[in-house]
Amino acid sequence: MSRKANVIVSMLLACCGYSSLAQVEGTLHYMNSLPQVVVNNPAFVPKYKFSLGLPFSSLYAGYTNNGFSYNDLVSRRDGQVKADLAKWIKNLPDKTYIAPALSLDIIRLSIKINSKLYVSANATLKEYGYFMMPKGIASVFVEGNAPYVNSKINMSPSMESMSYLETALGASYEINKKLTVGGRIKFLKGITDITTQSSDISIAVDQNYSLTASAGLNVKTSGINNVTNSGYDFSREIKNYMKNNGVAIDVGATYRLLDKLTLNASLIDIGGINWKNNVYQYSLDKSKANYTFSGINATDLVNGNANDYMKAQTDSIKANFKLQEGTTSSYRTPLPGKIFFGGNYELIKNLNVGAVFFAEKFKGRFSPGWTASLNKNFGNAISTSLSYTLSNRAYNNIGAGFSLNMAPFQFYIVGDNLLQMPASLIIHRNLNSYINNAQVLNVRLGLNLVVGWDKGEKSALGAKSKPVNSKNSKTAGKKAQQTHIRVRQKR
Amino acid sequence: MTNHKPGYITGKGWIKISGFNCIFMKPAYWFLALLSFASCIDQNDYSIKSVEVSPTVALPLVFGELTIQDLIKGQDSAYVKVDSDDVVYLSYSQTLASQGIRQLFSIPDKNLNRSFFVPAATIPPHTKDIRSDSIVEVIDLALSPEQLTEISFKAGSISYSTTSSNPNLTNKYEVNISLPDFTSKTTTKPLNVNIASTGSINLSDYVVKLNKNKFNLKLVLVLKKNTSPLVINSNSFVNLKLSFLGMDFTYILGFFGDQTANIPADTVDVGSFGTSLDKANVSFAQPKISLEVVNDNGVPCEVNFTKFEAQNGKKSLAVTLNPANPVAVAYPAQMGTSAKTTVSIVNVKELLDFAPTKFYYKSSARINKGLISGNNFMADTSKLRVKLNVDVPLYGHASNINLLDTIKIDLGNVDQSSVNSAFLKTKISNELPLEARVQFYMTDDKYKVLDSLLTTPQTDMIKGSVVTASGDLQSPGISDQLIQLEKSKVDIIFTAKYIIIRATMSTSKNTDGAFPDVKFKSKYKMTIDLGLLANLKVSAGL
Repeated sequence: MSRKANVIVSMLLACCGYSSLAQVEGTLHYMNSLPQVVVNNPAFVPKYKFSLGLPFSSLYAGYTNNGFSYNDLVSRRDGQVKADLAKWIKNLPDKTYIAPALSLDIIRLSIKINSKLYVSANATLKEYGYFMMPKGIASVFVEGNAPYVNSKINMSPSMESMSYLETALGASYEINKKLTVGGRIKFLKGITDITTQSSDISIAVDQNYSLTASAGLNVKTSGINNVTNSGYDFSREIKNYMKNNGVAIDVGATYRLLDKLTLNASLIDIGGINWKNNVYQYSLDKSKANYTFSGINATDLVNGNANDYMKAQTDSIKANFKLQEGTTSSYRTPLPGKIFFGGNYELIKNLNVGAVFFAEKFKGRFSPGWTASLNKNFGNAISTSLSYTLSNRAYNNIGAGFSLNMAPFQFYIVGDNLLQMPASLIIHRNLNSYINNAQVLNVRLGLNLVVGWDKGEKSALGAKSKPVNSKNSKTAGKKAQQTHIRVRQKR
Repeated sequence: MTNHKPGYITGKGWIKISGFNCIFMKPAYWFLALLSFASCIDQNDYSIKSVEVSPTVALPLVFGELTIQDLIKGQDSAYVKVDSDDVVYLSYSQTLASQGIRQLFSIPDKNLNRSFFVPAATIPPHTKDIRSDSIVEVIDLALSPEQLTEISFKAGSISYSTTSSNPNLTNKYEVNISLPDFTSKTTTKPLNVNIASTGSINLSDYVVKLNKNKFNLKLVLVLKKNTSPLVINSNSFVNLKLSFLGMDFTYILGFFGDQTANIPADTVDVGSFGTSLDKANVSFAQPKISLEVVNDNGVPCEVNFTKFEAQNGKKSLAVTLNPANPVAVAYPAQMGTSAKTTVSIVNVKELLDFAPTKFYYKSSARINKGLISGNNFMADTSKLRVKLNVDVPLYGHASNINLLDTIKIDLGNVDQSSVNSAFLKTKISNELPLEARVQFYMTDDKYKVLDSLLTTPQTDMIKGSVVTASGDLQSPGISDQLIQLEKSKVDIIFTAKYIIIRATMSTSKNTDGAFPDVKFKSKYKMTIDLGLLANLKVSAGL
């Protein structure tokens, strides 16, 4: 292996070893049969000239956990499942991010205006969040505090959760035969938010085992506190939820470097939301919220006042660590911004290999990963993708994408760890193996109304992409369907 | 085989694409898909039966600085003092304030019945009172052996009642009482009043001058002015009853006689020595015991300590006095002042080394011993105070001092296998010249010892400081250990009902192994950090 190759491999390994957390769809990146491919790069031009996604036609659900899978948490002995926390703690990163994400298209419309201009619009409900658990919390519970004598245990968790409605208008434009650029502007309406502005919680253990706990915390929420109030009526409050405005942009480009090699890059979700509705703050002041327990005071012990001493200490802890709650001024949170950089190479006609490096940056956390994929269009009827993703310290993400293009209908499903599901079913006759080993689970599925498979023109994704049937897409679709029927009939 | 229309894919579970009737649009199919997904999951894989962790916890138990003052029991804290050399000493003081002498004196009631004879006659109308019959006599208060010369009353009264045998005399006479020895404190005038019918005269405002307990009384019958003739039959009398009642004094003067008053017994508790010194060998270098008698009574007095001893349980040791018992005590020359007599204790060191728990004394006071006259005085507030001071500087040496404490525990609900191993971390820097072996005894509910927690070498937990030849601190005793507790012994804690903590202490030894005299100064501290390091096994069924 050349030195250059060594460097590349090292970088790849560094990426997958990084304590990453990215809610990014790698397999989707080169599924150009889907209108949703523009999610990752506004410069991408899907194969269909027109597409319409009806309400709830596209659902994305994602779960990532860069710390552990279910199998890391349990052991099986004598036919019994036991929580094996010692095993669990062994490979935990310093920060474990557990992140769910949801996205639901209310409507999506894409139109290729002419050979150079492609426009799209969408309204999408999105939810994004994570809970970060520092290793210290788990470690104290499982291993105790003894390993931390003469040191400090970081126990600063953080939590982010935002839901919002995104209304976007995007376009891509072919500057010349090599370069296509794209952009999208997103108008955001925040619904609810929880954000950790600061979290500094620790327990220090000194050489005499004295425990010093200190906590600094500032958590802000929007649209949540009043939900707990009696008489809360969402229909009356909906006007207030409209106060949370935000704007974000996506920019991207593709560049045909060689006849068969196209590079692509994009920045996604650069922007944020100003939260104004029902803004609350929950805080602890570190200068007050601290306490040292060194045991029972010897003087109180010899005077028989140990119980009084302990009661006083308990009262002191309660007073020092009382969470301060109250309304506060508006605040702004950024969207989890993403960056993509990839390349696509046409191996043979209708068979492309692609790779994409991606990273997500959110509130100071940088989470990289990468996906390599093999993408094949079987005519214009079936499009497939087979991928491998390194992300979230998970190495077993074999993804797949499939779209059945029966214009005007297109059913699709795509996910970064999807292919293990049938593998698990075949090998173990259940899905347990798939679920138990998964740290990354994401799937996007739905139904688009599509018209006008783009014949033979170069793809916005890069390499020339001619359909199997060059005459027209309808014929090609029929051919593919007939092929499938023949297979079925043989059975 | 089913015929299918071109352009359609159909069959069970497959896709039928006929416009918007695509079966994937129907929620029922989504539901079925979800069900089939769920049916492909072996739920047993997610039925976690138990969770088990083995954390090693490091917990602080005790911290802080202890001085010798802290170690002395709380109830004695009021007696802890520090001398000019910073040496801590225990100062016990008890004052027995006795009014035994005062209570020797009381003034008895005195009753008189006297009659005035009124001869038969008709007395014409008269515009002025007519003084008739009179009685003059000396009244004796009948005190013995006292011969008082003066009494200032603070309480008492003269109660009187008059009657006549002749109804014609009703409301026509009065009796004049004259007590020339009784002087008003307010007006300085002698007591002289006319009385009739019944009533009383308050004596609290009067001082009476006595002649060996006696005073003068004069009674005169007075016929009041009258506008009509007054006919007096033969054998007419006016009767008078006088009673001196409830007399008490502010002070008395005179000679009080040769009398003895008993003073109730009293004790001085010396709690710090307590039972912990029962079997201890203690020696105090410079103890002090003093006895003071403070006398407010202006009368020669001799105090006789019928019993004066140090006690330790059932044992006792007599106190030897100088001057020897009975002790003549001084008395004041002027009322309102006191006279102090200091009595030395000869065998102080012997008494303190005896490690007493209390001092007991019982005494009597004899006044005017062998005297037949004198000028004594006494106020009603006068006392004879016997004050005992015991000062014990913590300077000396001791060994085999035992301190015991019992703690009730109940860990019956805790799984005893939950402790895999345990260590006691001790870090003690001790400036006090005191070393201790500490043991924890685990007992059942009848205090039967089940086992001890520490092995014998492990009990040597607190090292005493090194002292100079003069008993001062040279360098602190340092103990920094991680004491492993045997699991079998730790397990017994879970079944024990009580833990008895026993500390056997002694003062620091010198290099020869002997116990030199050491000083406990207030600035000396024992800095303690105790912690527990335990590996636990925590398991829970789910």
